[in-house]
Amino acid sequence: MQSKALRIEITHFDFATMKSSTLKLLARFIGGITILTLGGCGRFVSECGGLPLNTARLAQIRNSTNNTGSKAYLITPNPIDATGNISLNSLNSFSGSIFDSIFLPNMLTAQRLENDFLKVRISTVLDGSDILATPNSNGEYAFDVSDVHYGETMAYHSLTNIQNYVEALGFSTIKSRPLYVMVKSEGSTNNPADVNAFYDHNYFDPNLPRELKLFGDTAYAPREDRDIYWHEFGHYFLESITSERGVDFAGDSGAVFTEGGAIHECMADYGAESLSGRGYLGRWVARNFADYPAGSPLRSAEYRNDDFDNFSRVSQFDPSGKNLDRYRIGEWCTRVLWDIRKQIVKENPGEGQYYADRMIFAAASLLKRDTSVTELKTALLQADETLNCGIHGRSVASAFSSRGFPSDVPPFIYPLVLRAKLVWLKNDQGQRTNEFSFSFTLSNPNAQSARNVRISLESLDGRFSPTIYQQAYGDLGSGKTITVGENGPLPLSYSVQGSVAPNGNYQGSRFILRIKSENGPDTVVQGGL
Amino acid sequence: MKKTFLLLIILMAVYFFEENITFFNHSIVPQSNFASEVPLQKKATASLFQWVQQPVKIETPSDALAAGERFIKGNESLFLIRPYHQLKGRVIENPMGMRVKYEVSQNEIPVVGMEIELQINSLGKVAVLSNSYHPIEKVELNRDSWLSLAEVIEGQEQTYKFSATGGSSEADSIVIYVEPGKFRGEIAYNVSVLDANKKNPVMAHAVFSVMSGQVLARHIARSEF
Repeated sequence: MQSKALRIEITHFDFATMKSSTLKLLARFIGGITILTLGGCGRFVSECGGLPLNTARLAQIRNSTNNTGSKAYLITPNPIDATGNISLNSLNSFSGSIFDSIFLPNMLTAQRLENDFLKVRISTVLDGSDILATPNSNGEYAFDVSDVHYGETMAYHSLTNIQNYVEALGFSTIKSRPLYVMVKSEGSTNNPADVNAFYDHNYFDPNLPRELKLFGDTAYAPREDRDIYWHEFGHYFLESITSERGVDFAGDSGAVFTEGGAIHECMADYGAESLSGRGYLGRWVARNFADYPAGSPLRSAEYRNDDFDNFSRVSQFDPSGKNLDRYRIGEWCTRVLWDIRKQIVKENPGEGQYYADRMIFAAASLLKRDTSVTELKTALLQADETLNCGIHGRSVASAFSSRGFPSDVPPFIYPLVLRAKLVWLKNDQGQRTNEFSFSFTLSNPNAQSARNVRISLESLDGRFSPTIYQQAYGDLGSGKTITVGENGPLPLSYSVQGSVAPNGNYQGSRFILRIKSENGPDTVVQGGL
Repeated sequence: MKKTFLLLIILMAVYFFEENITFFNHSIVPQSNFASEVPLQKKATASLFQWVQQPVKIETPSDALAAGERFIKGNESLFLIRPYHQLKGRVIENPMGMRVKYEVSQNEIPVVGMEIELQINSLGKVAVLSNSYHPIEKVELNRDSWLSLAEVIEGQEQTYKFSATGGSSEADSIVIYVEPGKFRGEIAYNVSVLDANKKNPVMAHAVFSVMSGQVLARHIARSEF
């Protein structure tokens, strides 16, 4: 530890500006080294050492033991996890000690579930106060689980709880616009069986709030589960700590799959799994889907001997498109982070979970626009270096390699082979629209696999706008081919897309299709509209 | 032994009180980690990751804002901020140091697509984390030359549905949009739409040029299932 401190502190000498005599230089040098030696890893590793955390405060938040604000009664995180009884649903009658007595902090008024940032609603931003939850005559928020007001109360509790937690870790969140939460949102179908959750950061429109919308009104409605709120908060939190750089900007623009999207889901899952300490999430909401056995979680960061334990099983391009699903790499990624967390907890039982969360969130804050798994690994090492003097570097590297993420990918030589055809998109009436796409085949002629293959669309003259400017396809094995459109297995929604002006003069407009990967040369194809 | 100890104390005092101790440091964070968002034309002329000598303790967000402002004003050639652009900074706290993110506006109209992000540590060292600011030309705000929203909708009716649930026939806001890599901004309407191209139509926010009606960018919500 001392040698690390020495290496860092010694860079504070600016030899170019030293006007001192040799003696003064020597004096400073020996004096500095002495201080460093005496100081050890205390004050003098401020360049690489994060401040100690207030673990008592963090534990209080984690256990929801604050005692200010209005009182509420909730089954946390949901009736199934609270009891272990997988046959329970919200239509059951619950009473007594199954409810946790919880306080709701920081409300602007005891009559309404909102503070200066978070606004809980039922179906729309414009919901009137007359339809929203209010406390009973005892000043308490107490409702049946199936009551929509229970969902509002769960929303307020869950979101303030996790927000207080990340702030106590040292991360502020962007509050320049309010966050509206609609617990039973109105959608295009309004079918109560359509269960979903949306987070909308509203990147381009500064007049709109951030919005978290939950859909579905089943016996396992998402609004009744704390996991859902914690996961969705994770999306908002990642946008916040990355200063809204757009770690999945291509996905926000409509790309079906990107590694940035997988990391968005990974961080959202990890935050929920780590704060609960359970290592999985979504046992409640998964009951809505027939392909999940009763009691199975939606996703798990713990080892389960399935596809998500090894990178190649979630990253290799498969013609069926199975791996073009951001949750697959996302779930794998949570297992890597969980391995790192477990190691830190092992070293520091009782407090390690907080230091692990701080390091992992700090790493996430370094991610750039349209990020990748490779970049996440680099960011974890960098955050560890900055906050922990790099003492977990080997654990980080080992977590990735033991789960099949190669540290050295062999380079390929020959550019991937692209054959593309421009297609004007039609609407549901069969009329041509102002948008175009490309059907294409993309082949890897090399003996090596191509890592994180992407296609991007660029305009050379600004006469069209790339709207879905990038799509990703995972790792393309030797001799493998991706076919999109033209009756191939993947529809045009997996391709890039551009937009022209109505009645505009776009003929002859020039474009570039660029194929990118992490271990070989780009393929560049130029063309015109 | 005592003499040696005394000597070390003296040398430590020299270390502490020596004048001209400066805090330049280029070694802690590799430059390449933050390179992607800086326009290519600037990479040739400006170091991305610059520490500046500001021996000021940064303890509060206000300190960070002040340090960021000093840095931007003191590095005119790096940013080339045009006088018709206003920058508004906000502080984002992080265990690795405070960050200040600057958003740009012209005549109080937000400029979307140009931002500057600085990292400021507790010793007042400032680093440019990302910089997508371009010294773009001033955007003319003559409304007489704009298409009305009704005209924009008419031109896009085959591509988007505007009257569906959640869609809108009114602009949510007006912004100046700068496409990545471009050196001009366009005035645009932000409108909620339903994308009619999809088998399962999705709600989107589209940014329409007021001059041509073209969709400049589109944003969709992040859905779980």
